[in-house]
Amino acid sequence: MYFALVLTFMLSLSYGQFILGWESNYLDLLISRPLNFRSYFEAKFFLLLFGGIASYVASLVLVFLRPQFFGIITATSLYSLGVNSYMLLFLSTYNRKRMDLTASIFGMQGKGGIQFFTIVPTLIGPIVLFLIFRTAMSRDVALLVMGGTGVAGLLLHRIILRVIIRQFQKKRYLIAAAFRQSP
Amino acid sequence: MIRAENLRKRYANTDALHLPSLIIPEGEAFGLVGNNGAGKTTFFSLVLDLIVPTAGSVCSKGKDVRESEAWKAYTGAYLDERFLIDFLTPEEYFDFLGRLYRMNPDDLNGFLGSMEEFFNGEILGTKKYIRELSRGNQKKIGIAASLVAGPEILVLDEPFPHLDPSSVIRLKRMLLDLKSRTGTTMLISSHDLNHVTEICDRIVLLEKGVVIQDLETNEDTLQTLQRYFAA
Repeated sequence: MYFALVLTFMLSLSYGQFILGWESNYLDLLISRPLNFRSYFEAKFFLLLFGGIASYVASLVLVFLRPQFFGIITATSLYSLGVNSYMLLFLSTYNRKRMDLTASIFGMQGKGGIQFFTIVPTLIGPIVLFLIFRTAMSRDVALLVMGGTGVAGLLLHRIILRVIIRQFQKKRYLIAAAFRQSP
Repeated sequence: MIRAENLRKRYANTDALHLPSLIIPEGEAFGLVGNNGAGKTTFFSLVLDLIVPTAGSVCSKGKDVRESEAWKAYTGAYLDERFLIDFLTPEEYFDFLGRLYRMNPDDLNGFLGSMEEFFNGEILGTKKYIRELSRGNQKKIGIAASLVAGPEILVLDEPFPHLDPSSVIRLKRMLLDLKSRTGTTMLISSHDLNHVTEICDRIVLLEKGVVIQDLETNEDTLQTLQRYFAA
């Protein structure tokens, strides 16, 4: 299960945990120009979906070799797409670390508490969900619940993105002020 | 056009800015002078909704800038390098801005053509990223970016430092031309008293966040200001 999660979600996570940070050096420009932050978050959402789908397609190689993994990989993938993507976008409004894009990718650059915290709901959350349903009912039910939650999340994307954008608008002064500090 | 009502910004229990009432009418070239920490950038940041006022509000065309986004379509600003995207080339950056305003490429190219003299051949076609250019050239890009969509309100924070003498003269000519030709409302801050008095119709002197003098520009203004800062 953990393996499936790493496989299908790592690509999105490695980009998504720094969202807003990627734009930290010119957020003032984006805020003071007629940029619609709805399209900003939609674009990030589709990028995360793309990353997730690409990972899923890549992991089908594994399914081809070991067909018994098909269920778990598909269910985890759907969960990553339909729940974790929003989680990353929502948590990005708590990102307060400016990122220097010219600096090395190693080290603590652009990382703050929020990046560590991101791992809890996005990686540990689905594992706990899976374990609860597996022990209470069965493995198949657990997989159906995870896949179903993911599909529901994808179907509700308009509503969920609206909540995220409202959250961003509330926090924008704090985020922009934090990004103005040197890293 | 711009109205600050009982506007207050406090940092750590001191007033960075306190403006009971400040009105900038349409078409005015408004100059802001004052020593460091006088509150010039704070005022501009409040006008651009980059920071939250502790009290009061700024209205642009009668609408609070915090509640309406309408002002973004007709306001162009350059405060500092945070208004540049430094990993793009100047062409890519202007292209991005053109898309934000849904300009057609011909209009954008026409605009860049009109900037050619100001750019002095050092900006476009150099195949360099903005971060590799000199501070003077970065500033030119930022100033040009503030003008890209033909704004009705132009906000420039310290536009003159880092520019070479020819560019300063060209910039002044450009701003004066813009004022007479399009009646753009301008908010310009500067440490250089000569430059602001040349361009602006009205000069407000800030100190510690408070308006000390509010002058209609005439031939004595420069002297008045110099006397104040010499004291």
